[in-house]
Formats: sequence, structure tokens, C-alpha cells
Amino acid sequence: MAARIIDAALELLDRQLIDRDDKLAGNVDDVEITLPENWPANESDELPVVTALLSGPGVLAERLGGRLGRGWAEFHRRIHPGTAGLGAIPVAQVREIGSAIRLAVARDQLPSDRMEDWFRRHVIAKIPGAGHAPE
Amino acid sequence: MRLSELLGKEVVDASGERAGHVHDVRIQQDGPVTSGFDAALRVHGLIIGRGGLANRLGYGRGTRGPWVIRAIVEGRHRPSFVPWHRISAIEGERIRISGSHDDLERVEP
Amino acid sequence: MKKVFAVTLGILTAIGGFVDIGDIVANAAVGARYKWALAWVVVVGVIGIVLFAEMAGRVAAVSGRAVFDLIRERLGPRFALANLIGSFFVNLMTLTAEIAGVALALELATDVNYLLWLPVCAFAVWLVIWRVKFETMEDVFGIVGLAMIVVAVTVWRAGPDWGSMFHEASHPSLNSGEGLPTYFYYAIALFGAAMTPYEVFFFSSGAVEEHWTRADLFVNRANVYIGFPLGGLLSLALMSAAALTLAPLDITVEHLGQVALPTTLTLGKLGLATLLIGFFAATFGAALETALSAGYTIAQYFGWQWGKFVRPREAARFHTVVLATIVVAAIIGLSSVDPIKVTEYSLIFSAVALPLTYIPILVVANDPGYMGTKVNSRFSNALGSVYLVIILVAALAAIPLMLATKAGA
Repeated sequence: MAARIIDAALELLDRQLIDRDDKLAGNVDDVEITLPENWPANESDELPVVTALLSGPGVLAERLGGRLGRGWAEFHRRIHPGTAGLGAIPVAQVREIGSAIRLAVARDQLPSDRMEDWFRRHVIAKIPGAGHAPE
Repeated sequence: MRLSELLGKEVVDASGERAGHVHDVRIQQDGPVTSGFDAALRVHGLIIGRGGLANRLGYGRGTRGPWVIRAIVEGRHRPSFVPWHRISAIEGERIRISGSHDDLERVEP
Repeated sequence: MKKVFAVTLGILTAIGGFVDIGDIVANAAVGARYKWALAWVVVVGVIGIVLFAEMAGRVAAVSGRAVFDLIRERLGPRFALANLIGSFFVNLMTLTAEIAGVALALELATDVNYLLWLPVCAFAVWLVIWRVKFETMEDVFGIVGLAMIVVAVTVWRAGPDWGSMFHEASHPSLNSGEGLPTYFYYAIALFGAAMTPYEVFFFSSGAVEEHWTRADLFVNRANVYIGFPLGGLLSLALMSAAALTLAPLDITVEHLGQVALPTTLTLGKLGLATLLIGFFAATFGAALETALSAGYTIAQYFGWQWGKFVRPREAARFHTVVLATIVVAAIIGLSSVDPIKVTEYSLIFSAVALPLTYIPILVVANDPGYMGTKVNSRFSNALGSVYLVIILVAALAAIPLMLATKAGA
């Protein structure tokens, strides 16, 4: 059985991420690829590997490019020092690649949930009825 | 590196001739099994072509559609596949490949 | 039996929900000035919205995803962002006009200045979105919107010469002193009113809110093929009422009260009261839909959780966007910009934004990856291609005509 072929820009990029509980968890804004060590000097047949899906406004800004995009990405890096701003989802947490990308984890485990959480705590939770079931 | 650093980059062959732009990156699920997921996703090469709209609009996957849209969007050249081992350098502005762009395999748009 | 009820309810809701402040103002203004010379635009516009709404509903029912959701996937984040910014701007203008429209309807009913009503209306719109179940919201305002049928009764009672009416509609001619550029300016405004972008984005997201599946495709078609055209008849009724009553008196539509004048003259206070209820429901319903659309499009672009089908705390950013958009629209409205003028401008900008809305729908509805076997038929594609040309022409001509005719002066 031939290995599945995936054209990354067509089938991974900009796809909806859905978490373990069928909740929406952002879009795939970029994909992290790890090159073989010492590439291209390395003479082996080793191929690069997809190591993570990236999701987050800083990532998207960088991808959109242009001065505005890069400026936003820089701003985002400053308020989220370290790798948290990258919103990296290791490939190991991906369960299924289809018309959407299904993850094996709950979305509150994802770094990209921080913004949602901020709004949840500082805006929405302050309004009565926020926990009201949709009936 | 990131996927977005590859996409859209100009590709030139060993003699400096332009071969097109990177439309897509072809991955196969055929690496050694890592924790959790099945076989690892290995990057096998680049899909390059001239113009970029046809691919973005998904006309690579057997999409039919209104004649008007297809007429605007389908380029005249079929894309090619660059196997990873033929990439000699990834620079800030372009990607260099070995050999000539003429002997790249053509793929379905 | 339950199925029949659901279908009937859907159709009635589609009729009652079809008309919004843009349709009310545009059809009355055009009827007063051109009588039936632009009736053909309403027909063209209704066919267009029927065509694309069916596609948008089918996309949602088959793929489980709203159309705007798929635009970024299919067309890339850059194009989708341009689309988002354009759509959001038009949406905001439309929302401002709709909330002002609700306030104006209340002003006509109570003689209290609309600026005093405006913050109340904005708050009410937000509260309904926050607390009322999606289906209830749609059904209530759709059914109450049927009160607009009183305009059709007005036309009937005015006892027009139907023969000459149809003749004028099918043989458009201009009065002396009327120029072609202004005629086409109003044609574009009317077209923008029939095919306002938020309608299809909302319709598609709404289908996901109501958890449509393939089994609902029939309901989708019934709503769209029967409900929308009947709603279009209401637009023509507004045009006719103005043509029969306002045109002979040389009255131009500059206030909502003038739109209500034909009904007041023909059917008295009871007619007016019914009409105002209809205005209220139509504009309030449209305000709900436009505010939600602002949330839908932004959340869907970024992949955030959206929708009323989850608790508000589970879609925090979505609800924040909806709230913020309503607040901004209210602030703009309170700056006492002329709400009728805002309505007219929102229609012209809607026309400019139409290609951004409809090209992606055509692309997505043809994609077997999302649609399986339910891709567009050749007929839909052929008609869609024709409309693409019409839409592009309207979009390109809108601003130049607006400038050349000083916004239809």
C-alpha cells in the first residue's frame, strides 16, 4: 500500500484544527519542518520531517508578511517571550488529517488557547449568563 | 524552518535559469513511526510552477467548475516536481536546484 | 407532518426575513422616483440571491462548514483577509443602518426621537443574541416580519391599473430630465440591496448553527426557491406603493415616514401600525443577522470557536467581537449621521464587495473535496458564471457612478 501523499499547502495549511472534544481550536497558520542535521552538507538520504503545526496570530502575521505582518509578529514575540507565541502543536498530537485536522488533545492544552482564555476571563465571564446553556 | 519560508520562493537551476516558484511541498507519510501518530511525515520535495493561482484555488484535485473561473485561473504550464535531494541551497530570496529545470518530472496540475 | 411544518416555517421565515432597511429604503426611493422602470433589477437581484443562497446552504449542509470558513482554506489567508476587511467594513455600515432603522421605526410609532431609541435598540439587539436561542430568534422575527405583507395589501387596495404597471416594468423608460448614469446608480443600489453580502454568510453559518445535514437539503431548497422570491415580491410591493402614491405627488424618500405614507393613506392607522410592526421586525432581525455575521466572519477566518450553539464562555472571542461591533455601530449611529444616507452608502459599498463574496462561493460549491457528489450542476455553474459577470460590472461601476451622479442627486 503506497504511503499517503499530502501536499502541505493544499491539505495542511489554513485548515481548521478540531480538538479531542470536537471543539474548534484555531487554524493551521504555518507548519514547522525540521531539516536533517547539517543539511545540505550532510550527504545522507535523510529527508526533512514535519515536526509541528503552528497556530496563532503571531505566526499568521509572519506568514502574511509585509511590513505590517512582520511588525505584528515582532510585537507578538515581545508579549509572549519564549516559544509560547509559536503555538506549536507537535505532530504526535495530530490524530487525523482530513478536511479538518483532528487533534488528540483538548484545546485548553494548546498554547493558542491563551488568548481565548484571556477574553473568557476578562470580558465574557463578567457578563451574566455566560455559562448559560444554548438550550 | 517553516513551510511559509519555502512557499512562493523563486527556484533557479544550476545554470541560473528560472524554473518557477514553489507552489507546494509534497509530503509522504512514510517515515519511522514516532510516538502517537502513525508514520512520520517526511518532506519528499517541492511542487513548482509558473503563476500561483490555479493551485491555490484547488484545481489540482480534480475540481470541476465554472468555465469562466477556470479560464482565468489555469496557467498554461504544468507544474513540476523537485525531489528534495536536488535542492542544493535554500537562500533568503530563492532556492537553487542542481541540474537543469528541463529534466524535472511534470506532474498533474 | 412535522416535516411539512418545518418546511412551512422555513418558507414563512424566509419571506418575513427577506426585507431589511436597505430593501425598504431603496425600493421606496426608486419607486417614488422611477416608478417601475427599475423593477427588472429586483427580479435580477432575487434570482441572484436565490442562486447563491442555495449554494451557500448546500455547502453548509453537506460539508458541515460555513462558506466563509472555507474561503481561507480554499483561497489563502491573503485573499481571505482582504475579503474579511472589506466584508467587515460593509457589515459595520449595514449594522449601523439596521440599528438606526429599528430606532426610526420606533420613532414613527412613539414620536420619541430616534437618537434616544438608538442605544436601547443596540442593547436589545445584543441581549437577544446573548440569550435567545438561534432558532427562536430566526422564527420569531421572521414570522413577525410577515406584517410587511400589509404593503402588498396597500398596493391591492390602491387599485392600480395592473396592465399599465406591467407594461411600464417591462418597458423601462426615463422621464425627461432623468439621466442614464443616475438610473444605473440606483440600479446598482437596488441590486446591492437584494444581494447584500451578509445574507449569504449568515445563511450559511445559520445552517451550521441549526445543524443542517444532507437530509435538510430539501428544506434548504424550499426556503430559498419559494421563500426568497415571495420576499422579493414584498420588495416590489414597496416599490409599487411608492410609485402609486409618492411619485404622482413628486415626493422623494428622505425619511422612513415617507415610506409609510402610502399605507397610511390607503389603510389608515391600522395599516400604519401593522407596517411599523413589520419595519421593526425586519430591521431588528436584520440587525441580529448582521451583528452575528461580523462575529462569524472574523472567528471563521482565525479558526476560533464561533456560534450560538455553544455556551458564550466557550466562544469568548466570538461574542466579544459581536458585542464590540454592536457598540461601534451604535456609536456611529449616535453621531447623528443621516441614517437614510448611511443606508444608501451601505448598499453601494455592498455592491462593490459582491465579487469578494460570490466568487469564493462559486469555487467552494464546486469542490468535490467538500461537496462530494453535491457539487454544482452545470445549470448552476452556467447561471453562476453569468451572474459573476453582472456582479463584476456592478462592483466596478458602483463608485464611479456614485461620484459622477453625486450619490444619485
